[in-house]
Amino acid sequence: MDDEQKVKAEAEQEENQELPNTTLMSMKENVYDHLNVSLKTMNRVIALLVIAIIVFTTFGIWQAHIK
Amino acid sequence: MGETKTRKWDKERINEFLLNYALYIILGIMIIVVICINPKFLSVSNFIKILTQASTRGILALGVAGMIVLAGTDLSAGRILGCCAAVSASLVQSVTYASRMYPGITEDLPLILPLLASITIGVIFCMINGFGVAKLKLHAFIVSLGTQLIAFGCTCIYIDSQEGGAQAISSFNEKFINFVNGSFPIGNFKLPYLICYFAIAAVVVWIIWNKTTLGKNMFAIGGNMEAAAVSGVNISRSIMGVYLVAGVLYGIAAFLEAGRIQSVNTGTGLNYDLDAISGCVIGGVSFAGGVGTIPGVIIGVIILQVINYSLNFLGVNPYLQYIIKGLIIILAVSIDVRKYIAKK
Amino acid sequence: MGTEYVLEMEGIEKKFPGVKALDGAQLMLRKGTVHSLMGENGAGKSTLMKCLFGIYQEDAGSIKIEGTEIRFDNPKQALDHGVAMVHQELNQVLRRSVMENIWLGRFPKKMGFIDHEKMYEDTLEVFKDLNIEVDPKMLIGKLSVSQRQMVEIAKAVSYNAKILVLDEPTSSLTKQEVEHLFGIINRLRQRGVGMIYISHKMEEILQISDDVTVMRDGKWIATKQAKDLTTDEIIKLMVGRSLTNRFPPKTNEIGDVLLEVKGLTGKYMPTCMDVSFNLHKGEILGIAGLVGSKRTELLETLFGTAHKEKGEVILHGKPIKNRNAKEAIKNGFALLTEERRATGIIPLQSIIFNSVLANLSAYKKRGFLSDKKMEEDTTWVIDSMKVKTPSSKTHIKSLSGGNQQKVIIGRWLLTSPEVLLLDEPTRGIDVGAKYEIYQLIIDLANKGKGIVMVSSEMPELIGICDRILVMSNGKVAGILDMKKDYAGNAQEEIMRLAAKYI
Repeated sequence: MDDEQKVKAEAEQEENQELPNTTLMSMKENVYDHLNVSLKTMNRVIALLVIAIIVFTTFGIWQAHIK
Repeated sequence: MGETKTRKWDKERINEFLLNYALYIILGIMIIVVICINPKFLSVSNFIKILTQASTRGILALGVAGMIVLAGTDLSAGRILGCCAAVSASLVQSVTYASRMYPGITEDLPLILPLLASITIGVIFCMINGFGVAKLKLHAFIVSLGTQLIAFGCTCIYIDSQEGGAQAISSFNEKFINFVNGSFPIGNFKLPYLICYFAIAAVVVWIIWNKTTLGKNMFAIGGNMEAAAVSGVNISRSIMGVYLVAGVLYGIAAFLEAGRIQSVNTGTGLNYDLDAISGCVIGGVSFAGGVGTIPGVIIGVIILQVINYSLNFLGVNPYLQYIIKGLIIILAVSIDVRKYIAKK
Repeated sequence: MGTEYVLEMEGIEKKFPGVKALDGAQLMLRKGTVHSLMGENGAGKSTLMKCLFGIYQEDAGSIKIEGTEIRFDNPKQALDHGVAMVHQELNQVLRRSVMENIWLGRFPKKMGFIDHEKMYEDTLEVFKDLNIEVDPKMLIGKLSVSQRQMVEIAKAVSYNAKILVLDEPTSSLTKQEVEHLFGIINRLRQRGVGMIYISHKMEEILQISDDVTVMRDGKWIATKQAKDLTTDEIIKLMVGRSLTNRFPPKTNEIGDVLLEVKGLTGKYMPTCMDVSFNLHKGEILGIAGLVGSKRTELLETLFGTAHKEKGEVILHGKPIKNRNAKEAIKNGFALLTEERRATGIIPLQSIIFNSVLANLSAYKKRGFLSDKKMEEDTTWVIDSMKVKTPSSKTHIKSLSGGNQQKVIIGRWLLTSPEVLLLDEPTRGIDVGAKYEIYQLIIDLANKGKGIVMVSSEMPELIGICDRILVMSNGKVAGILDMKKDYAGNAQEEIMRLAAKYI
């Protein structure tokens, strides 16, 4: 009995630990449900956007100072 | 074995952190850069200016936020604001102004009247949206797309109906201008009334969101409509309630905005909703619904205003500003979306 | 325990587009008793309860509560009239706290505003009464599934209803928690609450019920007292034919090893862990397990739609990688998903479209798709799968569930797979169509394909599988060889293994 409980506790601990806080997955449908994008792609998109913002802003500031 | 696992953990954790807070990191860097280039940026008067500019848009955002929490949106907020502003403006014109809209009015109306008129118009339009979403089960996006044009049409007809033909409604009476643009002297500084109005609105909406049944229902419906339904929540009534609150907020925002820009024409309000929605998304109100906080909305709106202001302050080409703002909005939504992608 | 009826449902009929879900269903609930409602998937149990609770409105029939005829237009009316329900799909707002979920729709108020302190106190009281240890302020989405189920039960009990419906309340509970729940049910029974209990678990039913009603195909079949029934009798009533006629004769022969899976572990927990098994040509390998045992995740990891952390997959002696669906299809794998309505059919498209979808590269002729070839293949699908449809151009949405499933199976067969992964292939399909699909599966085995079939229906697994792999909490608990006789108790052995790692 004790062993079973231990295994159960371990399994639950593992489950609770490995589910990161930022991915609150809902079991029910939400607006984002039919999103078929992979996490990898999303990370790349975000990185790309950050770079684009930095580039454009830098360009804008530089352009303003040239004048 | 254990070591490699913890190292991988750290790298993954740092990546998570960077990706989730990318927006704030960028903003932080931007502000630091601005301050470096021009230290004059860091002054209390600048800060107050930013807050003032953010105030009316903030009140609008507080209204739109409710709709987003319901997993909807509102593309008509800006045009509705325009219509309400036109009505407010027409009722606060100076009685000495020859080409005012209502020459029949010879005495300044008590300000409460134009305010109530503005609120009424706002509520009417929002109820149309609410009806479409709650009873006709249409998507908020579609309904507000239609209402947007209807509101614009109404504004144009109203402004056109002036005796002298279509002209911007301006030259407001002193009482109104003071009410909107005045300020409290506090020590060396002046605290503009606008900021106070924004603060009051924020507190009231916070109470609604967190301390009333309507607020709780709103979050439940946005988070899981079926759960709300089987728990006995009256879904359509709650949705209408949220839209009603938004209507009131739009009316107030329009009234104040008219006073702030001191001239209302058919273009007033154009794209204000984009700012409002962006502010909400940046502030953590998720498009998936059921998630959002008032402090978040306030911070999001202020951040957006800071971006606007600093880019202007540095003299960045205004067209380029559009591009940068657009990218920031896409970034904010992407980060939100990313939270919901199942790790498979 | 009295003989007066607290609930009388008679002659209930309910139609949905394309299917008659309830056809003269009835249920008579005596006060202070537990009345179990049994039937196969699709028999109409949940539908009947949803008509009672006001989620659906019945087309015909009468519902009487304590003698008064009544009809609920929405759940709020049901709750106000003393009917509460524990839902099968946990209807919870995951991003809100436990206490908010429990008091949703009836928040305690103080001077017009929500009284958070009272809500917290009330929740603690409810939990204390039921011996539940959960922090009311915690986000409900962060609880484990079994905890969420206990909260759902607590919520329903807290309405102090006269009639309490429990729809699959133990699907995610541990044995301990089930005993706990039964304690609660016994106490409610003594208090005179009438309870309707829906479950697939026979032993539970016989342990806890006073009366049992069996439904089949939306109709009322029989109502008997639990003490007069045995498992076999219930099954016979549920199925309508004895177990021997439910499944086609097994004519497949098992050949050499086709697929070896070694230590397969998915990347993002919770998922399958360290799964190893072999699949032979012509073999039908069943995968059994409780809800949450990660069987679907196993299939997805094998097929490549879920990332693999470690493990080997060896086909025909050669190690292969299924990094995504495209690679998997090329390697000869096919995956029939669990929810055909969500991830299988394209509802508003024709049968042609749905059939050829996975095999488009085969129809390319000089860069364009050949209509003629696609029609030919679709005709093959319709004929060999025996799909009942007016034409190949019909929208797949208008077909019955069973026929839709056949089209999807046909779709996969067009890609000439060697390994077929089927996830709940007969879920939501009527008994007649099930037989046809079993026949299809056995025919495919006859042709030398290897078939892996996930199923939650014990009789089905025992009826057509050659071996059954039982999963428990993501791990392999054991593999049963169906040729061996488990003293007629294969079902019990499977259940025992399924709970091994809980």
